[in-house]
Order: sequence, then structure tokens, then C-alpha cells
Amino acid sequence: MSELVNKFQNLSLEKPELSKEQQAFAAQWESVLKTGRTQEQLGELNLQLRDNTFALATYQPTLIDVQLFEVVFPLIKESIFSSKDVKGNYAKQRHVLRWLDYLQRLLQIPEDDQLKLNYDLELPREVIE
Amino acid sequence: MVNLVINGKAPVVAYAELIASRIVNAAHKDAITVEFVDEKNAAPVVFNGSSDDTFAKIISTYPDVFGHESSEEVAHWIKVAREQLVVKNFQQLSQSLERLDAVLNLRTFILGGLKISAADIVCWGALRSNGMVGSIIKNKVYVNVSRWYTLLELNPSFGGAHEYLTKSMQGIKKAVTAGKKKEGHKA
Repeated sequence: MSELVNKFQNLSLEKPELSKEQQAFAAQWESVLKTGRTQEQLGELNLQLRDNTFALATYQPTLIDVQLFEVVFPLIKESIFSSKDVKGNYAKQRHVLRWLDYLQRLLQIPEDDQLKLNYDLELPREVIE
Repeated sequence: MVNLVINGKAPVVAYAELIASRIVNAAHKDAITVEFVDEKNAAPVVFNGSSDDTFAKIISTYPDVFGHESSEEVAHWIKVAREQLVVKNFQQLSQSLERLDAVLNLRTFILGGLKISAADIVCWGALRSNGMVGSIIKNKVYVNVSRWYTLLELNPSFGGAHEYLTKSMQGIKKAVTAGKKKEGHKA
């Protein structure tokens, strides 16, 4: 068990009973994690987190959020550091950023390792076509 | 005894106060007695005999439930909720929702914390009372507002507030009708 998963379980958040739809989300993201396709699914994850606060559309984060966080966090950090177009990068993956920020604080990632977000960066409003 | 009287027929129903009292009562069993009235001209909400600053008063009475967040920030959002989010003018409301949407770009909750705060309650309550808002949320016109609104709705204190209000109002009507019949019988 990874350190983060351990930490998460020590928070002992209520485990929600998953609806049919949430079970389907769980199966989808478990398969992404298992097959190591997380990077290519980042856009899909951003979309999921646009409409839902957490990956499985639950009221509180679940273990799958933490497992996704472990993989996604270094990828996004890298993309933020290496990006020249900060605003464009923020705008494109704003929902993943929001979710990462929530989890990095929930899991008490050490300050120095945290991704520092500029919460009030003016981003263009996202309009669903 | 602490009591809250909600006017179910007010032009702007005091959902924020109702939800706050439900959250208090979930933490401290029956701490606030909630009553309902069915009178067009009565105050929308009365907390412990006063109809002024009702939401702020409930919040400050239970700091253990609502936390000690910067009261300045909460005061700002109370003002936004009261002055902007209950507005039924589509253009004005759109501008207010656009601003809220921008705040929620990178924040899960309005004040940026890990939990629901008084600012979330007062804004959600104002939007719940506004008949213009339902379809805007459903159609994801402001995606961040829709996501945030839907999350809070999953909390029974929020999501169940409307049904609780409707049932209580039906209870009042029944009681009134029953009372009338009784009087008629006597005469």
C-alpha cells in the first residue's frame, strides 16, 4: 500500500455506497489505472471533473481519486513547470487542477512538493458547445 | 429555546437559513426549533424573534458547526447572495453567475477550503430560491457553478430542504382546514 493511500485511509472518510453509474465510473478509471493509460486519458479526466467534483461523482473523494492523484500529480506538475502559456495551460485543464489542489491539501502533501496555484488567474469562461 | 420561523410563501424563501438550521440540528439534535408560516405579508424569516441579519446570526451562534472563517469574507458572500443571486432579471443574474463561475474555476468550495462553509450555504440557498436558476444549472451554462451546486445537493441538509419545506407547508394547510371544519361543526 502506498503512503498516500495509507494517509487517505487514515482520514477515515465515510465510504459512499456507489450507484450503478458510479460503479461504471469506478470500472472505467480502474481500467485506465491498470493499463497505464492515465496520461492519454487526462483530457477525459478533466471532462469528468468538469461535471463532478470527484472522479466517481461521489460526495467525498474515494480511493480511486487518490490512486489517480498519485499518477496524475507528477504529470500535471511537469506540464505546469514546463509550460510557457500558463493561462492556456490552466484553462485547458482547470478541472484537473482544482481536483489536484483539493487532494494535495487533503492528503497533506508537504508544502515544498505542493503545486502552487494562482487561484484568481483570469481564465476565459468555459462554454459547452 | 432557539427558534427559526420560515415563511414558505415569501417571494424569496429563506433556504439558506433553513439549510443552516438543518446542519446545526444534524450536529446538535433539535438545537433549533424550525416552524413554518403561510402568510404572504409576514417576514421571510425570523430567528429568535428578529428578522434582521438572520443568516449571520445563525452562523455566529454555532461557530463549532460553521467554523471561524474570516467573517469579512462570509459577510461579502452574504451580500452577494442577498443582492445578486436572488435577482430574476436574466441579464443581471447572468453576470453574477459568471463571476461565481470564475471563483469556482480552481476552487471546489467558494472560500477555497476543503469543506462547505457559510459562504456556500448562503449562495446555494439564494440560488435554490430563485426560479430562474434551475434550468441554468441543468443546462450547465456555467459549468463550475453547476458542478458546485450539484455537489452540495448531494448533502441531505441541502438536497432535502425543499421537500421538507413543501411537506411542512402542506401540514400547515391541513391543520388550517381541519381547524375550520371543527369550528364549522361547533357552530
